[in-house]
Amino acid sequence: MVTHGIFDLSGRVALVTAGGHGIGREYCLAMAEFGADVACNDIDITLAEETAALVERRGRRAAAIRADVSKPEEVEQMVRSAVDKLGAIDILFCNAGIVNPLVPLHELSVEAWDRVVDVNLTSMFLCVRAVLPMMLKKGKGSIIGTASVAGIKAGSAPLSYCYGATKAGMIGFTRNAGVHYAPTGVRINAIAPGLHDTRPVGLGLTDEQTEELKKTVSPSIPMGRFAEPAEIRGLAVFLASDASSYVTGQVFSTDGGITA
Amino acid sequence: MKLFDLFDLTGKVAVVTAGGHGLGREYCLAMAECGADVVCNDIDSELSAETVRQVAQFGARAASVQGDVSKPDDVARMIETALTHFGRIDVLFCNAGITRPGAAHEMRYEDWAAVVAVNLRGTFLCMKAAIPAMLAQKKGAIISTASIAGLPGGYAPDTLVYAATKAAIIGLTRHAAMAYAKDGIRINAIAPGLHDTRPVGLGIPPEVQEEIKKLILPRIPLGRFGEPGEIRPLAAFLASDASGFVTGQVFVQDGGMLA
Repeated sequence: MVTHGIFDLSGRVALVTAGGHGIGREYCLAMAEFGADVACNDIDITLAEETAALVERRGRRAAAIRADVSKPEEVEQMVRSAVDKLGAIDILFCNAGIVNPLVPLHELSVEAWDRVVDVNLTSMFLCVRAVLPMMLKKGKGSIIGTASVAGIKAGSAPLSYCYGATKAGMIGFTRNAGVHYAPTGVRINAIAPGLHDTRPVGLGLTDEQTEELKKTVSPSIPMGRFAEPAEIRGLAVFLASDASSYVTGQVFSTDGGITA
Repeated sequence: MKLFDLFDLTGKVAVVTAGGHGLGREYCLAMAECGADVVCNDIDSELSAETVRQVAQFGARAASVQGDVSKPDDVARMIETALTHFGRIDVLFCNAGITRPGAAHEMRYEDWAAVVAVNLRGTFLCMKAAIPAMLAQKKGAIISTASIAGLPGGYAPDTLVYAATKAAIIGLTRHAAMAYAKDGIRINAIAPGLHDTRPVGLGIPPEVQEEIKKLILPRIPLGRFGEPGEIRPLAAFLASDASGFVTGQVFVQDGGMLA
């Protein structure tokens, strides 16, 4: 057993949206490995249950909660359910996200645009809004949004302007809310991942599109490779724990140098 | 008096959303001053009609279109008006914006959604509607009104949803710029700091606006707010060939606040 010290999350509860796969699942496992209980949300309950089982295998309590986080009432219900089952929420990962259909902007349907904005950006507002009252009451909390290098720099993912816009929106939200809640003990930060070698479950891309995207992006990664999914865990633990107690309103890229 | 030839927009057509007041009206006047014809949209047709009257003083042709930019049909009508009246669209200012106060845990969902609809969805809808005409012309300039609120250091209390949407507009600007770079369409954003505009239409009560100004004034190195007219040269620069090699950028004009 490693001495985690400042990274220790024992006694804390983390809620992770879209925790059923990809980077979300990595967040859940990272939290569990450092001692936290985990409420794993996903729109696909089977995936959430898989992650919950993996959390329990690490000796932590877990709850699998189905919810579409773009819907206010489902978010409220998700948070109530997490608190009912695990007693609190100390850490929130706003991680749900989808990619817009990869067509030119002037051909993108308004419905597709709205859906991406709702799932990526509005969901962060809804989730943050729902957990803040209890964090404010406790005078402590850590909120982490999954932004993207696409919200910082264009060009690495062609045709992802709506995705990029919402990810930039999340960064704006993170900065603004980070400053606003700075005196309250609630810290709000974002992670901007580059391309991680995750399966495209739920992201709305076909395997073929994912491979195509990777081929396009690969030459622009200074490190010359995609990240292993688990490489996100260190940053997640840093931001979730007291290790980052003087950090708020910030965005941390883990992208092999794309935005360097 | 005309600006330099480099900024000449004679024969060009500019569409400006929320052109009935504030910076939007300045954009309209800047376009007209440089020789462009102007389609001025506003949700308040009396305000846009007044802008059209002022634009006419520069000898430009102008049309006023009432419309809510968060509504696809209204946006389509605005673009049709430009094409029907003037036959082309060379410049688009996505300028309509509103805000609602409230910290994250106190804000009503409806308020959040209303601001996202006008600021972010409206910007997208206008781009979406105008780009086909620009593609056909193989040339165009799109300028969105972002804000220092969407950039690091631009924090002000009660601006959460405003800041989020303005940051999103910057993301949209960068990505759209890359996507259409080879088509001759340049897409940039202006991030104004506090300009001394009347708060018409923005949805902020005058007393709150005054409070924000008092709070922010000490943070402005130049020690004053921008005059509305000071935005005109930047608008002319980005709309014209003067910025022919510039795309995907955000131009901050804020009296040094973010510096």
